[in-house]
Amino acid sequence: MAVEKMEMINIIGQMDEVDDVAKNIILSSSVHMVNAITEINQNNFPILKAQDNVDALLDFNYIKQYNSQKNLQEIERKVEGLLDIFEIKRRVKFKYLNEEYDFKEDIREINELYEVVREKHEKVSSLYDESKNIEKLEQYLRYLRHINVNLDEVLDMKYIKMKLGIIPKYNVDKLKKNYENISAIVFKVFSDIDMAVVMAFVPKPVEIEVDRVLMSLNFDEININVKFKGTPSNWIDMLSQRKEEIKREIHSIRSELSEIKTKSFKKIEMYYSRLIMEFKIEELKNYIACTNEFFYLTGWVPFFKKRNLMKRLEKNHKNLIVIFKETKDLREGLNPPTCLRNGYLLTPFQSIVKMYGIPSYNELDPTAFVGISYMLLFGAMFGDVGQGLVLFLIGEILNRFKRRPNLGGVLARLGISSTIFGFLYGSVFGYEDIINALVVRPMEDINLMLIAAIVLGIVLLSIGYLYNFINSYKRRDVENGIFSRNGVVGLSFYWLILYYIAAKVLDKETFLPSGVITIILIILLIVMVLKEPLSNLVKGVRPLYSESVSDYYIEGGFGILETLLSLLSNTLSFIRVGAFAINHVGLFIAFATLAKMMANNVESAATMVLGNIIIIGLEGLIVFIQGLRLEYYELFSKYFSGTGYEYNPCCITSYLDDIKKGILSKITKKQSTLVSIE
Amino acid sequence: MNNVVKFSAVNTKIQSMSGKLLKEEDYKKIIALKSTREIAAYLRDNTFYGEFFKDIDLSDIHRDELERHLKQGLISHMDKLIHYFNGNYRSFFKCFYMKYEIYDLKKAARMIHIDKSYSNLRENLVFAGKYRYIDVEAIIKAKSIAEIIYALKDTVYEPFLKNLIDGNEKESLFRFEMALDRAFFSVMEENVKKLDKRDQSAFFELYGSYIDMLNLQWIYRGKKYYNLTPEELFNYTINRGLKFNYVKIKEFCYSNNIQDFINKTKDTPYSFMFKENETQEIFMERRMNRYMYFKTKYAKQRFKLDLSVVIAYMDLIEFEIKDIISMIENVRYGMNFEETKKYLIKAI
Repeated sequence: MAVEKMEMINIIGQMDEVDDVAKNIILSSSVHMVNAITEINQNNFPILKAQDNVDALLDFNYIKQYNSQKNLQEIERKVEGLLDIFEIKRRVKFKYLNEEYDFKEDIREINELYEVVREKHEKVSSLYDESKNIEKLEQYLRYLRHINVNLDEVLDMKYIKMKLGIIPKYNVDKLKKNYENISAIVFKVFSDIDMAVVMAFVPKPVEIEVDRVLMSLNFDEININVKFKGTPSNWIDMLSQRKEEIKREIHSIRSELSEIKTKSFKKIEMYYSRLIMEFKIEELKNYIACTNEFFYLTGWVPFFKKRNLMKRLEKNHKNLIVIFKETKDLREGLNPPTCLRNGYLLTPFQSIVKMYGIPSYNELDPTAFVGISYMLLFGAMFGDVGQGLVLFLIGEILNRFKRRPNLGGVLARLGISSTIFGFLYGSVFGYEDIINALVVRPMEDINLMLIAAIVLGIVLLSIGYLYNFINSYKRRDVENGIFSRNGVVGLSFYWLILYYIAAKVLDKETFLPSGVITIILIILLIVMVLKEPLSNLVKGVRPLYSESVSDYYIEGGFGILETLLSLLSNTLSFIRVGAFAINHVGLFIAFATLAKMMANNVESAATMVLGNIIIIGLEGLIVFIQGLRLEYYELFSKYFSGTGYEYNPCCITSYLDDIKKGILSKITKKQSTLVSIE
Repeated sequence: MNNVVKFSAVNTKIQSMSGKLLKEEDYKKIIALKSTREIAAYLRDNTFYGEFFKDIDLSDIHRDELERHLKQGLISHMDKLIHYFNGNYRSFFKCFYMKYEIYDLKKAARMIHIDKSYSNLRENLVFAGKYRYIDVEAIIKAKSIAEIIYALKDTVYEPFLKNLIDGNEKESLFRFEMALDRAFFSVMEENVKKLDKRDQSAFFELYGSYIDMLNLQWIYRGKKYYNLTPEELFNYTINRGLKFNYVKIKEFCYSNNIQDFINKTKDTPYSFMFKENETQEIFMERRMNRYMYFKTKYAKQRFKLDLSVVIAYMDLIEFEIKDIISMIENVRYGMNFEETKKYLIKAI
């Protein structure tokens, strides 16, 4: 239920094991990699503790960044080719990775399979090309259909050559304007808006010159590489015959291919999975440092995954030196990544936190608070048994079938909360006459709703203050934790002023005379203005002010105004919770009225269904956003800084593209640094 | 829509933006500086270009890198101005992205063809993909001009380029550049056709001269260095010049030799391009640019409510960036003030 404890792992091993170790680390998906060279340069790599292996120490001076020499592109192209030819989905299957295997063996098999398939595939595509060419030629010949001359004789002329092709429209003009200088006869056989089909008769001796001229006109010539006898229309008949033949041939090769596919489907999936693994290993190796004999690897492991990782490594590798270091032993400025772990109920709400920022390692994980308060707020604003269940179903569908676990999970949980509040409000799809309200019907007691909303707000804000105290304590931040308006002083001011107002409104005696309360409030305000010098006094830091004194007080003066305003607005902001609860009923009443105005039952039923859809879609969205706003603006700004970075272990994702992109971007980064060094 | 409505806002914006153009003063100061780094620092602290490299460590800044940041300045101008246009005017204005994209492609082609340097192609493609989608990844992988053309498959450029693939290697760069220019002007022409008559003539009044000069330069080079046939020369020329119709162009193409051609240009406004001395080749480009510079400057000062101001302004910015780049080069070659002046488009 919090930010997980991290430890730094350092591994030293022998170079010939590096691929296997990398593979095991990836399969354990528990290590957030850190560039080993940087750590070594910062003298952070605990090399001196590795005294039991002196060789590893001796080599230490020749340490360098690992440079991958492996060339996977060739094999990738082949595997991709196989996947494309057989139309197999790109999916990583872990069972192929957990087996013992040698990728070199696989490469050999891939090559063999690819050779067999490629031949057939190329045959198919060349046949395709031929049939495309035939179609094109057919089209051209159609323009010449009315000519009753044997085409083969024209093509075989000894001194004159015939050419057929397309010229773009804007060049036809050019041709026309320069007609007198061109040593050929050019006919336009067809033209439309952007091109003209032309037939040119060129005397053989000047063919080269004319070719160049035609080329400069972007003449797109068609190569007639088949030979038939007869007029153009005879040719067309023959061409269609040939096309039929090609179709049959393609079909027969296709069936051969599909036979191979059924035979080697599993294998190809396996190759693909292992290829992905190779890519990932290369990616991981970008982080390691090495000498000729040893490699050095650094990363972060969450405490709860440590055992699992160690088991895996110990089972497979005897000679590894593994050293763990806790965060408190590490150098300054090295912040561990943040790994959030929450229970089943709250996990989806992590995405809401992450949308705002990743908590830093030394910060409380606000997910629990966000999850519970968001469910409360949403349910209170959108309490309805039926509509809540609909939201729950939508969430589950998104979660299970559309692979949107975060959005779906949040929606499903909000739906449940909405259902529970539906029982409290006694509302099913807007109808209030089906079940009894357990607590209150919002429309019947508007004042109670609004006041309850504000009370809820005060409770939530106070919890927000508590979070800030804890976070500030962890950071040893006196200014923010005690003297600021989000600190102890701020909270005292907030509660005191609320108490004072409540007492005045209810006309009760205050435990202190109101004059004294006023004075205390003013003192608290002054303390807030003086937060920087005061905290510096406490900590013994000099100078007291980090900016010029007059600037500080001008800003502080306006700060008071802002503090007062924001206290008011933050609290009143929660009134919307009550207002939306009422609004929810109001919107339904509007649709119910519309339904009553309809002529018959079918129409009014349709109106009610439509009304419910609109309420769920539109109001659901509004309430979702309003709840988010309360979380982010009213609460997060009090206590959450979100300056951490995410724990991102090196592991296999199912899609090759992501991995390749990662590697590519790294390579370009490397290159650009090289360029700038030059 | 009335031209007052259409152009008063954008012209006012341009008027205010021109305040940030470099002054003669700035030019003199920059020329007096000693190194790329100093120039970069000056630009950063004293001109609006600074905002594109304020976070960059200037201590080892390279000319190429500075050039890239300056070009970003050009794009940011475009991005600001394009909001003032919609409909056909917007798609016309977008052609300027294409113009710069073509600069990039030419630069990439030159790097591949002449320098055979492939490593930092990516950094040099500042504009690529701004106009329409081009596959930058494929272009940086190209090892020859033919491969660039393959990489440009399915783009607006393809129809203009595809016939170059089987052309010979020696001439390919020259043809490639010409074909790109032609692609630009024919796309431009398509877009200009959809504008109001008044703006069409405003466009051709400025760019017409440019087209004329490009045609003359093309014919000159084609004749002198590549021995192209007159038919080919003619077919590659660009339509819709300002002073020459096709009869005149044809006459140029069919002149018997270089001298004949130069004599024919004598009584045109562009005779300055062929001064028949040893500086002719080196300064031809600069002379063309300077001619355009005066023309655009005049057009901007005249401040008519039509397209001329925008077009002129975009050109002025471009010239300014070209000037800064030449000044950096000149500083590197240690030229003095008088010498440097000769290479600048702006007359100081």
